[in-house]
Amino acid sequence: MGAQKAGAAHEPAAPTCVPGGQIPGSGGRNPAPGGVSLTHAALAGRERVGLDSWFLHFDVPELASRILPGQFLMVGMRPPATFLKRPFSVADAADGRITLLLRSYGEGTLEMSRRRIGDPFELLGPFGRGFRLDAPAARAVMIAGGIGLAPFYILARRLKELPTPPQVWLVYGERSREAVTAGVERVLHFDRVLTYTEDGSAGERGNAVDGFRRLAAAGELTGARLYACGPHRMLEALEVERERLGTPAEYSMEERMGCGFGICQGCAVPANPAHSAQAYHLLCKAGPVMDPTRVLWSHPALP
Amino acid sequence: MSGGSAANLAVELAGVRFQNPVWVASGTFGYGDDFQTIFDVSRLGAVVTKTLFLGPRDGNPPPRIAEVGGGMLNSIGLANIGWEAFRERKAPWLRQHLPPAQLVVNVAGNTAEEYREVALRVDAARAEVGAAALELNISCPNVNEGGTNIGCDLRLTREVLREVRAVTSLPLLVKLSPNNADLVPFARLAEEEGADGVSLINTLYGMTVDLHSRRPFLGHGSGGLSGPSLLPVGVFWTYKVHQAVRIPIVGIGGIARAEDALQYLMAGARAVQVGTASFLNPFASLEVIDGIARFLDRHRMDLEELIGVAHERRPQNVPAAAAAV
Repeated sequence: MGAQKAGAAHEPAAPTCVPGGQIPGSGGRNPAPGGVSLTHAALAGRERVGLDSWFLHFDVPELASRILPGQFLMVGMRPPATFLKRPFSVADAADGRITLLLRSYGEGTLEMSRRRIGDPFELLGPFGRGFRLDAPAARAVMIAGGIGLAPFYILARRLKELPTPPQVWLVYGERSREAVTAGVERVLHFDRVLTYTEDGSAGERGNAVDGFRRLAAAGELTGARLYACGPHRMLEALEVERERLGTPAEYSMEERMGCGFGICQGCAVPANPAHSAQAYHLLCKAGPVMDPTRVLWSHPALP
Repeated sequence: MSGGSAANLAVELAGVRFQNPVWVASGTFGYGDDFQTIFDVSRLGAVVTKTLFLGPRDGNPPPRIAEVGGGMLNSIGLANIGWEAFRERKAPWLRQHLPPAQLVVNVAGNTAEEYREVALRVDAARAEVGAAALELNISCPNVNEGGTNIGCDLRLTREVLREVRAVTSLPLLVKLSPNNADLVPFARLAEEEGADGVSLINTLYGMTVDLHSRRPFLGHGSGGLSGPSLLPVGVFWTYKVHQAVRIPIVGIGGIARAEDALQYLMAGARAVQVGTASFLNPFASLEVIDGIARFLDRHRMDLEELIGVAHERRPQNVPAAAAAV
């Protein structure tokens, strides 16, 4: 099980439209607007976009209207194929449709990748603190490691909707050409896409942090705001470089989550003792988007 | 009363009236306020707080949870904000939003003295925070006894119970650990030492090994098993303990649906606690309340007629279909 970060859809699949609604039995129990809801949704679209990755689309207008970029949903299949739901960053939410970017690397995500259009899912949320939209910069630089690409579709979309939209650059690292999410370079919200692969089979050879170093060396991060999402090790390496430059930044992190709303206390992330009296942040509530200075990156418990 | 049902779900337990027998278990509902954007917590029978120590605890390093067959393991490590922070920051919200649901304060300590001290403070603030009862989490290592799990040792359990019982007149529930060959001696001990009830069961010891690192997966090594696999274990001990003691039983373990809760009630529990199910479905406890009401309506029964009915001699000629919820 892993906190799977979600991605977005730029090319909606042929609509097999099943309206989203609340779970029967919990209808009418959902709280005031802004609250958490459990939404029953049939899989409306499914696109394979890489060796082991898919876009999953759900037509859930009410839920889609409430998603902020960087927020996540707890996603389950019906009947349940896993005991716990899985956290997914919302990759995109537009026109009543929510899109998740799924990468299959565990039993739960593999099973999810096999679901067919029309199959029932449960979407619980939205949860967490997303990216700030009130801290504008002339240039938004997004650093994505693998499935960490997910939240940047919706973030780019929402940044481009601002009165003074920034330039949006994407630095995207993957293992190899087969893993690269198809079509990402054609997404209109990205003004520039720099792709890196570990084996050099697509884009430049290297990883997303190498891409950050290159932009830094070229002086292209001046006045930029950084947004990053990827594995702990990537974010830890990035933070070493970023701290040196002092570029303002937000990192979307992942951790195993049991519930998504603070009660299971499973998603503990070590806190930077210089900025916090407590030893851990609960990522589901303090994050998943964190100020990187609040995290203790060198902690031995981080993978 | 729930969803237009005619059933009276109210139940008296340890001298306290609960509007229904469905509580939410310690450690699976935070301090209640995490549910303020989810549902109206005043509909519950009771909220049991996360285990409170005198002072705050950080808990264990990650990973803290793992999905396993039949449920999940957790090694949160009793992370909590501490009694004083609860009283100042959480209790006011509960005081305002929880009634008529009751508040059960779950406490623990590193030593018997710490149990006494926290119980004393809860007792002193009982009106201020609206505490209806105290639940003792005895599944904790005693730091003075080489880390022996108190709830697996009759002598240590007796010591804790005496310290606590001496300083509080609050209704006292003892939450029993299932990591024992027999729970009956612990339940009898609780009764002897003046506890007003037992809640059972806590989590079972468990471990999962990561095939990639070839080491225990959880940061702490081992954890506590919860989820559906606990249902038959908890129902079994409810049935056994019901035969052995007269104090009431609160059934816990694997309850996700009304059908599960009904098993506990029939086995002799006067109330139940919904735990891990709230992680997957935050509305699970409300669905259990509604399901019990529907069952009672359909069978034109009172809750009291149901409690412990499994101990009666098997009746003749009950059609199978009559069991439907």
